[in-house]
Amino acid sequence: MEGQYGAPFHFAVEFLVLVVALGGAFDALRARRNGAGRWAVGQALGFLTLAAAQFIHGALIRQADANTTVIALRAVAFGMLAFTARPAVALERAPLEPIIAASAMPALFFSGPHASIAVIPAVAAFAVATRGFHAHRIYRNPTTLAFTSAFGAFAIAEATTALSTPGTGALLIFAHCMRALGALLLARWLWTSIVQSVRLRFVAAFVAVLTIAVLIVSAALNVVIGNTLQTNELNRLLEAGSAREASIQNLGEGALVPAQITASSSAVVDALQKEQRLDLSGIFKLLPLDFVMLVDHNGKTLSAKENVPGRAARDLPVSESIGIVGQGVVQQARQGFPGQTALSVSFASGKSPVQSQILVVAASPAKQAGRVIGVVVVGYRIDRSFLLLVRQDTVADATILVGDQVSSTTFRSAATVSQAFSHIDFASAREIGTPLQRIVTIGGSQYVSAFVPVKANDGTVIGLLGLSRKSTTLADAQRNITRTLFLITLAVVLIAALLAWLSGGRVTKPIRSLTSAARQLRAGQLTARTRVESGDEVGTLGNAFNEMADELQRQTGQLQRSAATEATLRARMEAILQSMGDALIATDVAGTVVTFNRAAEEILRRRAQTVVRQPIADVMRGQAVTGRTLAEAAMIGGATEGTLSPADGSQLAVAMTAAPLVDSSGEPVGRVVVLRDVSREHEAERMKSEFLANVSHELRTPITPIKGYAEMMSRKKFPRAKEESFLAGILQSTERLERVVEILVDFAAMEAGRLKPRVEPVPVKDLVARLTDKWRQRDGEHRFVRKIGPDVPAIMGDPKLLGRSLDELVDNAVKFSPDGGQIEISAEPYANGSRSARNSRVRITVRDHGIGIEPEQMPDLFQDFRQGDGSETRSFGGLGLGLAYVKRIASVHGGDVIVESQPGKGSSFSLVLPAATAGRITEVTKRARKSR
Amino acid sequence: MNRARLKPLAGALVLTVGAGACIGGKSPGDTTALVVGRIIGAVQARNGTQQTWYTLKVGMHVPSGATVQVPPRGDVQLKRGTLSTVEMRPYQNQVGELKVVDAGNVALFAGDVLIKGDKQAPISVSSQGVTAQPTPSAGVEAPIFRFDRRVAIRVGVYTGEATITSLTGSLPIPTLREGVVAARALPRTATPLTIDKNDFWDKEFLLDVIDLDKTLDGQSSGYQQQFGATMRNWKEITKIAPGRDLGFITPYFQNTGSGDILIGTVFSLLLEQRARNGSAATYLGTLLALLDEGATWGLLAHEYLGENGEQAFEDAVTRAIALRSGDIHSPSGAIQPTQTPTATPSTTPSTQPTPSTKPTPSRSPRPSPSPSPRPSPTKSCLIPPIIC
Repeated sequence: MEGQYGAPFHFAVEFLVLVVALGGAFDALRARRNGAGRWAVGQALGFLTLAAAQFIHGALIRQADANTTVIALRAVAFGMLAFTARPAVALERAPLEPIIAASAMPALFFSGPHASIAVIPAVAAFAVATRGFHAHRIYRNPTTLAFTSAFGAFAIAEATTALSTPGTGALLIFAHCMRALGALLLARWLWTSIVQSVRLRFVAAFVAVLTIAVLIVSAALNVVIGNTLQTNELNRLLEAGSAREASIQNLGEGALVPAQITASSSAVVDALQKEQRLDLSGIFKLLPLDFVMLVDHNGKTLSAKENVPGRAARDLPVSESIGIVGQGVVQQARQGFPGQTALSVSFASGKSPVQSQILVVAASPAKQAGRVIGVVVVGYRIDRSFLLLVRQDTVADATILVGDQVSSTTFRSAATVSQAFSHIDFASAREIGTPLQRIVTIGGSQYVSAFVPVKANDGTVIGLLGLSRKSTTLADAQRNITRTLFLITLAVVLIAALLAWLSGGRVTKPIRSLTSAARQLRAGQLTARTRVESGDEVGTLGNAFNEMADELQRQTGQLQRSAATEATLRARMEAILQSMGDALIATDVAGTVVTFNRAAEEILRRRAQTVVRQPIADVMRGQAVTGRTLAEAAMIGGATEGTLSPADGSQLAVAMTAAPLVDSSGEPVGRVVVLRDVSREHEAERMKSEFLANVSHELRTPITPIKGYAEMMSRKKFPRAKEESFLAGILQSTERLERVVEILVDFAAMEAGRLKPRVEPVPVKDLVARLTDKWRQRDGEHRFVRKIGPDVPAIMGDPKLLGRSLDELVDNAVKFSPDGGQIEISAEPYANGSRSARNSRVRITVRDHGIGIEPEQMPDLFQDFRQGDGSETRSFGGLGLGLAYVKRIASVHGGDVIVESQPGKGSSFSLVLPAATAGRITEVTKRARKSR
Repeated sequence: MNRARLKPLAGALVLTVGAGACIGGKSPGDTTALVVGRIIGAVQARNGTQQTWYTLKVGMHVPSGATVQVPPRGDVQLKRGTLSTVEMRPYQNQVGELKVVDAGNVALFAGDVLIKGDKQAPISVSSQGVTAQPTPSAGVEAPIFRFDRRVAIRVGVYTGEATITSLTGSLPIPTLREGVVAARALPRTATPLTIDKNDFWDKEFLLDVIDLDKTLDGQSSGYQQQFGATMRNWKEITKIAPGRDLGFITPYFQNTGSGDILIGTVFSLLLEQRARNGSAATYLGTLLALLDEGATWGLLAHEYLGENGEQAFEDAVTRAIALRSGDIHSPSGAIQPTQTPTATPSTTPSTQPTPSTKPTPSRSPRPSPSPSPRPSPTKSCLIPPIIC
């Protein structure tokens, strides 16, 4: 593209695309550095290739828009971009080959001079645009739209370039407009990457401003220099035209002399006198005149010859001579005044169409004796021969216009003439008589034209002399300017971009440090700080950031500590709640369970996670003593008792306390319900009542015979034997009473921890023998059998307590054995399966063959106040403390009680006690000494 | 910047520009003043009765009541709106002067003015009790006419139609006609426009006419010198229309030069060929009558053949002379066959009474216009077959 504005426009567009392509390459390389895939390398190469094409073309190293090298580079560039178009998802969705094949089809219909190859970059760009479009369908954002549109514009630009010819300037302008649009859209696409970095923004802004400034300056320089050159060229051409127009006038002056000489010749005078024709063509041998005429005093042409170069002179067309004779200059000569002028004449001759021609005519009267007898007219044609001389002198095509019609020209093509003189208002030039200057583009080349009015001697404009020259000076100058400016501008922009990158790095370093610290802080690294040491706003910002981080760290620490404390407290509270013996249920205001501790789980037989967020009425079922449900009573509040119905269907006596929960402002936020299992208390109460009844019974039972015998003996004298019998009964009851009292005393002492057994070696044989003897004397209704092995060692114990324990066991055996039943009392070493421990313990067993014990009663055998039959109508007496007493005595001696029983067959109770080994004896002795 | 803030700024900018446009310019309907559009020379003005003259510049407003003075060889163009203008040029070396009565009326004291009056904003000019104003017509948006104040008042119309009003009445002046008012007495009819080849406006609007007249005058003169001033037999020019009986030109031999007869014959044949309706005899009579009234061949060609026809006419005359002189031999004669006859004249038809009805004493042998063979022009048709 050439011309005053075409060259700067071309320069601006190509440079813009170059800068954007370099930006694209930089962005791709940066993406690769940040971990992008191999596509980034391909994309960078694509953009660099595009930049190379722009450089070669923009710097006019390859000037033509359809240059093969430029086209090839663009095709390669767009092709690489098509294969590496981001994002990768689009690659899978948009196979490349069909796109290229489809888009290549229209190429068959291209008919431009470079269509066969120039269409390739268009196809490649279209492929990129298509892939971008697929990406846009997925991502639907302005960035992908800009990418797609950019390469769409490039495709249109390339296709238009392919269609254009050197003469189709409008197409090339359109192509460059589309290329510029593509560059701007691509810049918009790059903007998405640029805005992610302050440094890049800095560089982009710098480059953009610089590019715009440079382009403006370049365009201005181009225009100014171009204007100056054009003006100079036009002025030179105008001067040349004016000079030639002056030469036309001079021709007339020059022709006047031969006209006068001829008119004064005697031959002419004779011919005029005789009104005879006279051939004046001989004058052509002396002077380069084009025609000569002899006119009589009436204006009738007697002779008119024209000079035909290389041939004999011939008659001037009559129509032309008539036109000449009718002119004022000839009329004036007929009046006796010679004159010359340029004039336009129309004539027709032979088969040629009517022509209008400018002639330079000189007319001189021929006189005889002072009387005008005729006129000699000579002149020149301002025809193509004249114009060829003008062209030779001025190196410009010359044209003569008469009216609006071309009279003659040195242009070879009528189409060129038409283009050269299109849109030129010749009428105004003819009216005003001032020169015209124009620049027109013909066939892609600029022509400067100047039109000078050709005037008659009366000042009227009879035609225009046009000079047109191909403006090579301007084109060459613009080419040199463009090339130089392009290189300088590119260097300046690249250096500026580098400097901007470096200085931007320095400027943005604190910001990047701040960003890094902020990112670390965001990641939870509270110790992150920035090292911004400057006194400007960024320094202030850095300090503020560090202070903020300090504060954040301090507050976070406090929060962490508070959270830990709260967590501890919460855990403690949770532990308290969970370890509470009482069930605790908390609800919100609506009665929905929010807290449910472990005791509640046990009492209600439900898991906490299944009841939380359930209505309390569904969770806590049962009846209060007031007649309401427990849930209703809980909502009312206060303390009450009732029967709870846990999930397993059982019934449980509970004591319930309910109170409202209020927040710090006193507003109710829910209720708390505490349930306590009171069934054990009820059982203890029952056992206590039963114990008191038993004690009363056990105490009253021996007192009754004592009192009866004593009253009987006090009222009446009985025989000695009888009295002895009574006394024996009293003694027996007294012993029984004493035994009950002793057991109660020992039990109470043991409960109070005051019972200190006096341990000493106790021979088992003696112990068992005394026991057996004692019971044989006391109870004659049962048989007591003693079985003692020969090697039973003595045991360590308090003989008194052990005796009472064994006594209790035998008492139980007697109690639950039928009359006549055998009760066996045996003693043996007890090893419990271990041979080594055989002599370390002794097992003393009391076995009966009574009613035995049901298995379900076994766990409660050794509980206090527990009897096999606790009913009011029980068959067997006793305190219910016997076995508990035995168990405790065995425990305080370091022994144990073993029970074996078969219901209906009898039971055996074994007292396992430590044997009296030497070590134990020594230990006991030492302890006894110490206590003393 | 925030986009939300840009909108009110843009609105304010648009309002400012709009307000500026309204304040700075005058709408076409504005009648308060005229605006200076073009100036050549030191043109001065004086407001109302003030004695102080000031120099006008392009773009200045000339208020009502102002007097404008144009120096010799100066020029000023005053605009009313965008289409209507008053242009003033002094006559010869005098000073031109006019007064802007109001935006639609100008009083001329000395010099010539050219009025281009748009229908929306017409401008009338008056002087010595004679007023001329553009006449609205359907075909022409802005009639152009000139008003010369010299010994008499002359109103010539280049385009459209104007009306002259005086104490004695009014007279419409059609295109390419003029009316000369002397002592406030209106002429009976409008006459063909007198063309001065050195006049600026004639050159501006009728340069082709001037050129054509010059060419035809030369050819006519040369023809007469070569072949005699008087034609004796129509067969002398039979070569220009082979096989055609040109006897209808015979009545004009006595009072019309041979050159004009030749040109008139060519013109008539051309009209006949273009119209395909009407006879060359009729046309010749009408054309010569107009020529007698002061019209020129160029003016007639411009009026009835249009711009494209002028060149064809000139070529036809040249060919006719060449045929007559034997330079060329053409079986079709001077009038070349036309492929697509385009006879539309460049201007609107005249509505004035045809001047051919007037007696033409200088050319007495000419047959009376009313009887045949001359066509009887209707009131609105000068050359009926062509323009009606």
